[in-house]
This record gives sequence, C-alpha cells and structure tokens, in this order.
Amino acid sequence: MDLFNPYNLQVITFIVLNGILAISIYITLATGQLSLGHAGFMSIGAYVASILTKQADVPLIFALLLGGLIAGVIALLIGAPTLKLHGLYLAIATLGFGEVVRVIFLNMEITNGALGITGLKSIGSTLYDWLKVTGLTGDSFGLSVLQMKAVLTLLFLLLLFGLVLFLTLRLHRSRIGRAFEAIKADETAAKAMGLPVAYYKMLAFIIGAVLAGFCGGLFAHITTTITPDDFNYHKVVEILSFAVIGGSEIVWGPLFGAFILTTLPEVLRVLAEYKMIMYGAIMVLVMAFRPHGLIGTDTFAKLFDRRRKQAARQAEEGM
Amino acid sequence: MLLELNNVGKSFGGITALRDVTFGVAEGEIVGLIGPNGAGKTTIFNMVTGIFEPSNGHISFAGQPLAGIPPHKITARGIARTFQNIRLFGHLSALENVKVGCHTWTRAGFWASLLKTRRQREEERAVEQKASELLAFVGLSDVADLRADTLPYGQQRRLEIARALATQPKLLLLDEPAAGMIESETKELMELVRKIRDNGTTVLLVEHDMGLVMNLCDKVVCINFGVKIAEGTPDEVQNHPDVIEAYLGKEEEAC
Ligand SMILES: Nc1ncnc2c1ncn2[C@@H]1O[C@H](COP(=O)(O)OP(=O)(O)O)[C@@H](O)[C@H]1O
Ligand SMILES: [Mg+2]
Repeated sequence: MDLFNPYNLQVITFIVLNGILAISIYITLATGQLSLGHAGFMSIGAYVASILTKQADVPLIFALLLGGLIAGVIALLIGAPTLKLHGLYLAIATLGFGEVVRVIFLNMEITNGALGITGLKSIGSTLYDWLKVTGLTGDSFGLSVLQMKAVLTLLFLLLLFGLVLFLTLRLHRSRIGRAFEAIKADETAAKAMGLPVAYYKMLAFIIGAVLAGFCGGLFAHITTTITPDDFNYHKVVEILSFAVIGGSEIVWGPLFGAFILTTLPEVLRVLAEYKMIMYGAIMVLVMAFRPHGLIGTDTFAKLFDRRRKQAARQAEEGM
Repeated sequence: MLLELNNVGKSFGGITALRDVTFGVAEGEIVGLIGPNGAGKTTIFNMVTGIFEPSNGHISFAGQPLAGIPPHKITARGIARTFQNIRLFGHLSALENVKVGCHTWTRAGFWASLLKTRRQREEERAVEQKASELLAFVGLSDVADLRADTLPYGQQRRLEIARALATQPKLLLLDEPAAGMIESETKELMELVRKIRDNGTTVLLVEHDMGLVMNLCDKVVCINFGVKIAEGTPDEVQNHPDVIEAYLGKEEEAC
C-alpha cells in the first residue's frame, strides 16, 4: 500500500511536526508579538535533546522534555530585555538571537560544529525497541521493520500533536487565553482592565519557546542528524510562513498553513524544475487575495454560523 | 476624599499640558470634569490610571499615593476607566470583552487553566455569570455573542462601561461617554451613570454635553489650557465668568 511507503509516512510525520511548530508560533502571535526566535529555540531543544540521548543515554522522552525546558529557560533570559520591544524591533532582536545561537552551535565542540550531530537513535527505533519488549514486531501487522518504525513515529507525533492542540484550545478558553487575546487587540486597554501585560507576553513567549524546543528535539530524532544550518533563517521564514499563509487569528490558521506548506512541495514535485516557481506564485496569490491568511475568524463564521451574522446585521440595522 | 490631585502638572517635552491642578472626588459623588478640547482632561485620566506619571504634584487614591504604581495595579486597587476614542477588544465578543474585565478578582493561572481544576471551573462560571449580569445591566444582553467591533457606536460605549465595571471599581472614570450618542441614548446613559453611583461606585466623568453634566453631576471642575479655572456645583461653575468666557462662549461660537 502506497500510504505505508516510509517516505510518504515521513512526509505526513513532518506535517504533524510542523503542526506543533505552528501552534508554537501561534501562541506567541496570540499576544501580538512577532518573534522570529522560534528556529533558535528549536535548535536549542534539538541540540540539548541530541546530546542527552547520544552522550548521556538519557531516555528519549526525558531528553525531549529537557530540550523544551531549556529552550524555555533561555526564552526567560532573553525575554526580559527584548519583550519591551514592539513589532519589527522585536522581530529583528529575536532574529538576531537565532543567528547568535546558530553561530554558537557552529563553534562549540560538543555540538561538533558545522558537521553537526549524526547517528542519533531515531524515535522509530526507540519505539520499535519498546514494541519488541511486548513481543510484537512489524510482521505482526504485516509491515516491514522500516514501515513499522515510520508508523510508530507518526503515531507518536500524532499523539503529541493531539495533546498539545487539546491543551492549547483549553488555554484559549480560559482566563489566560482571554488575557492573550485582549493584549493582542489593545495593550493599553488591556492594562486598564488590570492585566499584567508584561507577564502575559513573557508567558506566551516562553510557551512558544518550550514548544519550539520540544519540536527541535523531535526533529533531531526523526532525521537522526542535525547541523546548525537546519535552523538558519530559512527555517525562521518557513515557520513564520505557516502563520502568514494560514492566518494567525485562530489556531487553525497556522495549522492549515503548516499543512499546506509542507504538502505543497510534495504535490508540486511532478512539476520538477517549475516547482519553486509554482510554489512562489501560490504564496503571492494567497497574499494578494487573503492578506490576513487563508483561515480567519470569519472563515468559521461563514461556514458554520450564518445565523450569528444575520443577527449582527439586524442589530446594525436596528440602530 | 476618594481621589485627590495635589498641584498636579504634566509636560510633554517642552509643552506644558497641565499646571498645578488640585481637586478631589469624594466617595459617592458624580463629578464632572469639563473644559475645551485640548484642555488636559484626558491627560488627567491617563495620570490617574498610571499610563503617564505626573511631572509635578501627586495623586492619591483612598489615602494611598499612586506614584510609581503600574496601570494594572491601579485598576486592581479600584480605578477603572473608559476611553474617549473607544478601545474595545474588537475581535472579541461583547461577553468576552466583559469577561476580560473580570481579570482583577479572579485567580486561575496557567496550570489551573491547563488542568481545568475544580476551582478554575467554578471561577469560570462566576465570570460567565458576572459578565452576563453586567451586559444585562447596561442593556446589551441581546448582543452578548456579537463581535464588539460590529456593534453600533452607542452600544460600544455602553460595552466599555460594562467592561470597566467588571473590574469592580470603587472609582469609575468615563471619558466623554455621551460622545456620538443621540439624545435618547444620552438619556439612557444618564440613568445608567446614576444607577452605577447608587450601586456604590464613585464616578468622575469628562463630558462636553452640558445638559448631561449639569443634570448629573454633584460637582463640576473646569480646566482650560491645563489650568483649573473653576470648581463647585454645576450652577456655580456654569455661571462662573471665566468658564463662560473660556468654554461656554467658545462652544457657542462653534455652533
Ligand atoms: N502623549 C502625548 N504626547 C504629547 N502631547 C500630548 C499627549 N497627550 C496629550 N498631549 C497634549 O496635551 C494637551 C491636552 O490633551 P488632552 O488631555 O487629550 O485634552 P482633552 O482631553 O482635554 O481634550 C493637548 O495639547 C495634547 O496635544
Ligand atoms: Mg480628551
């Protein structure tokens, strides 16, 4: 079956991974902060987790969590001076942060410089080892070892993605989520309503960094190889594009953006050398016709909630 | 005095916007702050709510100085405001806007919200109820689920009042609450402000609608070019020669 081709499974796995990254950028944007530090935090998580599993034999899941946690601690440290900045100034400062991190990893011994870290034990292998303990193998499901590993990786990523999305939606519908939305809409009014704006911006920045760091660890243990260049400004632009193309008003926007931008290169593969032209053209068209991204609050209002719109119109006419 | 301004001054760069302004607001009063455009009324609100620090003088609230306290903590102490140029959270529903205002008296943090602890759920119910009550209080129950920025102007002004009341203020600052309202809406607004005061919230309001000010206020303070020129009962201020010249005279010219 074509779906169980390990290559296709890996593409789907990357869609899911980019989904978690999309949530990471969404949460920072949810307080109106344009941070371009996500690739930097991702690389911190990737290197921390990789060094832990490879050199200290730390179990994968702890290494991943620690990668996220350390990215969060770094976010706390660099957030203190930078989060006073707004808009493009914050973007430039965080972009600079990402470059600094990259150059540090490029020059450190423990990260093996430009060659990076190779030969990591993949998530698939780790999970397959666990599976073997229970007495099951790929054969039990009629799959080859390679296929089975890819399936396990995908299931693991789906589980994590589901958990992160679930918690994000919970947060969104809470006192914290309301505070984020209020700050995004109007910081001055938010302060006047008693919200500690600096605290919430820091919180969103740290959550975004922890998730990005966690994704970095996952990325490292899917590809089994990382170099500092995996997290350069191309990655920054890629992550940001999820929100730009998909929209950043609601979490479904960046998620859809991650889906489109991860799938598109695969779909366009048939176009061979014209692939990037098409890719660019599609980006330009989306921006021309949907400047706030493909998915917005209006999308679901239009699809599911005609009645609400009607009521709004009546209220307007009534006055 | 609930709110006291003592010789308060404010300059922006080299320009003096306010000079030596002294007045007080007693608990339970409705006080009007009047003066021509650019007189410095909004600047006073911005200093009382901590958005700007005064350049001179001091402000105290309930006997405590406000110097150096950030805006969100001033709100937590019991001062809430509305804005002259409406500043709602436009993409949120009317109900959500009021819920944001409930932040000061609720506690649920990051972990409680993620784990949806029992206390968090109880608190959310209390917030939902309080917000609905406040929308009913200002007469906006029907539009609770509509986006704030789709509401007509008069409703947006009332929504801002509901949102400010959600912080459970002791003192409510209203910056030109009747601006852009038609006469019937202004009448409703006056009733609303009276009800707010009767419920125990002191009100300081900036307003250009003289009918409203004279009808509603226990005391009126008039400033012109950043200087207080009169203070007293509505009648006293209305008949003060400086006020007539500076403010009412100009108003008539404009008409
Ligand atoms: N943030 C600011 N920066 C510079 N000047 C300001 C600022 N806020 C107000 N001013 C100036 O202070 C004066 C008083 O403004 P304001 O308080 O808004 O008047 P009012 O509300 O009475 O119409 C005006 O001359 C205005 O230009
Ligand atoms: Mg003003």
